Amino acid sequence: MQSAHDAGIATTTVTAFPTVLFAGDASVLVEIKAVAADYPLRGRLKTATEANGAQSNARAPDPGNLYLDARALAALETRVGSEVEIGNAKLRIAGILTEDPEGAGSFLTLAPRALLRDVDVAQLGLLGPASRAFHRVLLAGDTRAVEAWADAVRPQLQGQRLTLARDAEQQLAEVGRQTRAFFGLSALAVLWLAALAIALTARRYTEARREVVAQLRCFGLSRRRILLQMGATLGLFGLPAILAGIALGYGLQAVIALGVGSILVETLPQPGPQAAALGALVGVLAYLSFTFPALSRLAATPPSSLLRQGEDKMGAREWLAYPAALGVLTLAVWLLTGEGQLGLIALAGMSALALALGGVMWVLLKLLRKRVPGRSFVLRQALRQFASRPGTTLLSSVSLALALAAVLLLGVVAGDLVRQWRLGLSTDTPNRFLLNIQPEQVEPLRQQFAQLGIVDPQFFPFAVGRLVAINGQPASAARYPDPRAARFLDGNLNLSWSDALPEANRLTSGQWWSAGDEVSIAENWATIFNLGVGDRITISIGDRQIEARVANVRSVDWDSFRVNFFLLYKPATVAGLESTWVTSVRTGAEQARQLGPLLRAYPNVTLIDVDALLTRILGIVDAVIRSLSAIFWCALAAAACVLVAALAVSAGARRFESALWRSLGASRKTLQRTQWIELGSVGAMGGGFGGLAALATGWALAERVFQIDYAPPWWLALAGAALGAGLSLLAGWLVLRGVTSAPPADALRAGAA
Amino acid sequence: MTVATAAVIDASDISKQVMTAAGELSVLESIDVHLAAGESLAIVGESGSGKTTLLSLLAGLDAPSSGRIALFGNELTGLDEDGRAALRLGRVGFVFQAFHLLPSFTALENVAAPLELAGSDNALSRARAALERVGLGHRLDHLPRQLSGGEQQRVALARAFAIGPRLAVRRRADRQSRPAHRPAGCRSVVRDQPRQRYQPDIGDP
Repeated sequence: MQSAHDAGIATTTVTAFPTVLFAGDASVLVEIKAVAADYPLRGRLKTATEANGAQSNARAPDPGNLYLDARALAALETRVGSEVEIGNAKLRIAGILTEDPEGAGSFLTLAPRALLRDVDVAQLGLLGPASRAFHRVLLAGDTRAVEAWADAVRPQLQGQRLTLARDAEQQLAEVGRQTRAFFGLSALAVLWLAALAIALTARRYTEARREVVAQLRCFGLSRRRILLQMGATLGLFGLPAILAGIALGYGLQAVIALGVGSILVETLPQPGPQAAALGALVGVLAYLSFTFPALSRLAATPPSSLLRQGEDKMGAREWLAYPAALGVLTLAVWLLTGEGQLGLIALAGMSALALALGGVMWVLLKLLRKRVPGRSFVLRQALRQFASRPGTTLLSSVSLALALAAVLLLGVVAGDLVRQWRLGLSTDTPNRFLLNIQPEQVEPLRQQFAQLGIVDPQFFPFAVGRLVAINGQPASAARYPDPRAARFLDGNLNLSWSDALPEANRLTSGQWWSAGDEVSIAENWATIFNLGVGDRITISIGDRQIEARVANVRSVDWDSFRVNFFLLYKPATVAGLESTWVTSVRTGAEQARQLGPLLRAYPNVTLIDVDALLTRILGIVDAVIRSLSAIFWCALAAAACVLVAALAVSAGARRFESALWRSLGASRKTLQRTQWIELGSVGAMGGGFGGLAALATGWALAERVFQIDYAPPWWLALAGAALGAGLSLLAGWLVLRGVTSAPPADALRAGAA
Repeated sequence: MTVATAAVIDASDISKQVMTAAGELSVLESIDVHLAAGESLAIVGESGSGKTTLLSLLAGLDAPSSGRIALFGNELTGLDEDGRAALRLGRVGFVFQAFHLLPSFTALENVAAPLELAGSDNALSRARAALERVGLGHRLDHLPRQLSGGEQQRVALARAFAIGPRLAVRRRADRQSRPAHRPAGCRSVVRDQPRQRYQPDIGDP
């Protein structure tokens, strides 16, 4: 620090550690941040006097005072101006902490925060030897001076971490990138579906104008003029749609902000004008690239088509134009958002899913076409109609399937998985962790637990060291490809020692203790550092260096919520080491209530309420799911647009076919029922497959990620089918209403010269 | 209501007016038509003289503004479109000017369609037989767009006659309507119909 001062750099220190605050009977676990009077060096602290009240700039609290964030205040059911107990002292709440320059992006901070002065910490008696606390030195100065100082200091660092502003920005950027990528991917899916709807609509529009264009070309109008004229007309339709889309985007942002507002401490920022510009750009690009193929073909309609009316089939050029347009759109999203790799992976993944679903459906349609089941005319005819338009049937069904799969996966399966995982934690799974227990407190605590009816909790000594060498070679992150290695090498390593193999641990190789200095390592840790029985590792704790032979490798059930360690030493190997103790216990509601007052006698002990922690994590997961759901509902709306467009394309042909059927003697009711069954089948097939895809993904997640015995809700496939059928019928009602009432005399007149 | 005569079509004093932008237009006025089993009737006239309108009325596809029409002895007046459809079902065969095959159905499915609609048990085998009779036994699974114009016409004929209609209605374009132009397949169909079942073929040349 002296060298920093010499270089003209301002410094201040911060100590952070978790502890429990009390106000009356209420208690809350907080992350304490003890700061000096000159905190912060950069930026401003902001506080308020009541929740959601006006903020004002503030200095570091005076000794005897503290700032609490709104969550802690709510948990303690207290207000600004009253006192809270912390350790041996009482401090006055001087304000609600609303902004802390060091705590930017506090979205994932699990515990609420309390800011108090460093001079109070000693008085509180919260920190003893080997207590867990993070000490940070913050530096502020001229960028070049700071970087020069950092370069000089870096080689001397031992276990400390040096974070420059740009590193922090990189970390934040990484979190931001991943989040953005996830949302970007979902938005891309919506965009693809919307593009499909645009392509279908453009095709319908141009098909209806084919004869007019042929005539115009007969009269001598150039292709270019026709292209310009038709393009302008289509543009008139597109512009309001793009504007409406942008407005909808802003509206949705507001809805999402409402949905997650209670979870995020800060409010979501309002989208700026660049969001509108991006929306407009992507909208125009999607519109142009997906209307152009149909438009260019329309302009190329040969005048001779007036004489020889044939079916207007898509040529190879047009078939190629659509994937090309999709590529252009994806590329644009890549360039605009920097999510190209993800876009390509998503494109490949979704195409694969679409192809797989499409393939299965195609085989189904072929089989159906070969042998239409049932004796009822209506059913046979409906299924035949359904199978006889494979193009639009597949487009509609696959779009519906993809969108419904996403919606059902997030809406039902995700929540279900998380709930089942939580339920799957057995009833004796510990739900309270106690950290920072001093050695002399272990026995009294054990006795008091026994009085509360908490039976025989396992206490473990707990020390923090640093991995310095493996097999005599200095440990360096560069030697291990696994990115987790750097985390273990840069940071502190939690370790313990024990005579017996702890619960939820199982030896996979080697023997439990034999002769010499020995250590037991967890299986995943062994994988990261490529270690096995017989290897030697050296750790440094304080001024001691301890080298030990790997005696065995353990598989650890991390989901057991028991205290577990990557490194477990033979007690003799680490004899004389200073430590605190930790334990985990399972408490019922009544025991949990009594635990609070009991722990007041142990102000240094940190109680972590796993239930509350899980609830908080699940709350965040829930908020993310809810915001994503909003996007996937958009995907469903886009799929519905595809459905409507596909039906609109066939509306003319359907009207004529209805007239024909009616001339042959079919009643309107018969035709309506046929149409309902046909549309219902298209939707049910898409929705059913969507439901199955969601179930399959859920099952894979359960197997691979959650590792739980998941009972898939099979009704989801039926629900998907019903939802798909409902949507399809609704689209049919919108587009095909009245088609079955086409007067039969039309059939006689049609084609009359 | 059933009329006393065994006439296939019995129309008297039928008129048809339609509303246009310029006001009411009288297309047909006071027409009488009587057609018995075994008779043929050709409606000939200038373009715009109301041939198609009259044909629509006589075949029960449309309702007259005034007058009465009986089809197979059944009064059409007062029947709605579904009622008239039930009367046509399995009894009236149509050959449209542009053939009007269902584009997404194969030749076999097109011919089987009215048979299935009428509840025939062996619709597909009857349709197959009808197509073989017009020389298209090898084109059963082809879609209309895969057939030539002549083949499409033969499928349309097979569809009209496969149901064994009591009344065959055919609308022809002005130029291709001479009886001598009737395709061979069509003649053979007409000849193959059992005499007692084959009923008048009316047209609109």
